[in-house]
Amino acid sequence: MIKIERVVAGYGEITILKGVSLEIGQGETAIIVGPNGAGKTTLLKVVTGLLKPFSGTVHFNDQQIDHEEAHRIAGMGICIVPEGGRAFPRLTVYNNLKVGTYSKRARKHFKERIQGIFELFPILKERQGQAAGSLSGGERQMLAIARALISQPQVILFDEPSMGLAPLVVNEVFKVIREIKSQGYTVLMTEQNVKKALQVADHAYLLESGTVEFHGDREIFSKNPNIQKAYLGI
Amino acid sequence: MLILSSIINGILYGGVLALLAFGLNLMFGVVEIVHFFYGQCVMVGLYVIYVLVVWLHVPLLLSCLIGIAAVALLNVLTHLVVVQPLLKSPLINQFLALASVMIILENACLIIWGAGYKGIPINLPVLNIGELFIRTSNLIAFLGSLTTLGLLYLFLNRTYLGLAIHAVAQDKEAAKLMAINPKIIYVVTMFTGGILAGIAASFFVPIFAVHPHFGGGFTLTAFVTVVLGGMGNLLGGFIGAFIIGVVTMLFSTLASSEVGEIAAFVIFLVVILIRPQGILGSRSGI
Repeated sequence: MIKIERVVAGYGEITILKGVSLEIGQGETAIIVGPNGAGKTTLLKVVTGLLKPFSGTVHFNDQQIDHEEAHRIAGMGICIVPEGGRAFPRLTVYNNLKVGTYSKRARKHFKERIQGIFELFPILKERQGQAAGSLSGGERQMLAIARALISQPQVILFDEPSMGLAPLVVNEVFKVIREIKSQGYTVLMTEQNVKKALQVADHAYLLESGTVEFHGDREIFSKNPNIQKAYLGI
Repeated sequence: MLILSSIINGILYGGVLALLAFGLNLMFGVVEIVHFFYGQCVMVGLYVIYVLVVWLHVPLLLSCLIGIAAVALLNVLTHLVVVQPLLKSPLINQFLALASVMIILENACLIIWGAGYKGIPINLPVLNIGELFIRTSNLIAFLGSLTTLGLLYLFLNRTYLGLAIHAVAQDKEAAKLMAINPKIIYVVTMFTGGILAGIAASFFVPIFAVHPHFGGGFTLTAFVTVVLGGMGNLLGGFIGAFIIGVVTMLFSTLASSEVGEIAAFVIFLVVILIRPQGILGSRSGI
């Protein structure tokens, strides 16, 4: 579904990604783990079109998207839950969800989709008239996930979904991610919490200093001794 | 009773200022430009209406509609030609470019119509309710402005396009991730700002005569209103407009129109010195 080939990207003089290749098939959940500064967020920015790579390509269902405008890529069905959620703070929960269906494709299904969303996220139904800025961090993250989900995207990207959240809330978030996965969505996630991320992953990539140092399916990845030592505390 | 009348007329006048304040706040909040030639947009609207009514004998209502469309188009054109290309340039370039358009518009009007006052001969009665004197022109302006702002509120909060405008103002990058094209939203916002200036011009037809320096005073008053209320805050601009409107009218009646102007700007200075972010200001924006 998404094919990233030898992407080199960065900001101005600074190169962050030094030739990253990655592939996810339909219905798969791929995770990218690695330390701060490795380039995880940068990679997601390239996929969503917020950053154009210096070289390399990104294909979505055989269509080349690496130099497309971000809003067009979103319209194709690649939706992201950015780091921290980035819900629109002065819009209500309801309107945040509505904005999630802005694309022509999603707009006509808003009324029916929001019912399903409220069932999956009862706290959002309760707070639907509240401004998103007044929600707690965990609630905002749920809102951001719901907002990405409501347009029935083809691919959902998560940028560090556990960042800044209390452990109990992290469990809630991953419960939702598991539910999303079970509904057949294709998921690409970056995470620093390797243990939690591996629980939902089909395939995992270790990104360090801008290159993929190692990748494999869940079994192989969790059995790798270097990863066990550095990231799983074993 | 004279005082009450002038307060009421001030509130009515504030209604139109509120339109301009709203337009400025919208454009500042979304496109992040300080629209220096907004008053000149109103001036162009008045000139267009003048030409249509006095030279071409087009009926007033149609002339106003054409005038509104003309100002909206002027704003969008200037956006595409001057503003959009400079959005990534240093702020000083943007400011000077906008100020340049202001000078160009003023001088163009000076060349075309000369320095004299051009009035459109519409005389509306003054209503006499008990001991109160209310100018119909102000009343129409007020009711029209409230209606416009009401419709605008519905547009901004109930339609997808309106929500997209909020989204771009609050987080442009996140808006892109929602499949919103910021460039289109900018054009829509500038179009809306132009419509508001055109509507203000229409309401000014029975109140003011236009001349090439008409814009300057209005731009300043509109900006004072906006900063008084809190830059970028729509409700603040609304409140600020009525404060400036009432103060100006009240002191104009009590002393003279010059004192009225002085009073309004003194109030502004006092508020800004005590509370620099304005009455409802913070970085809250729209």
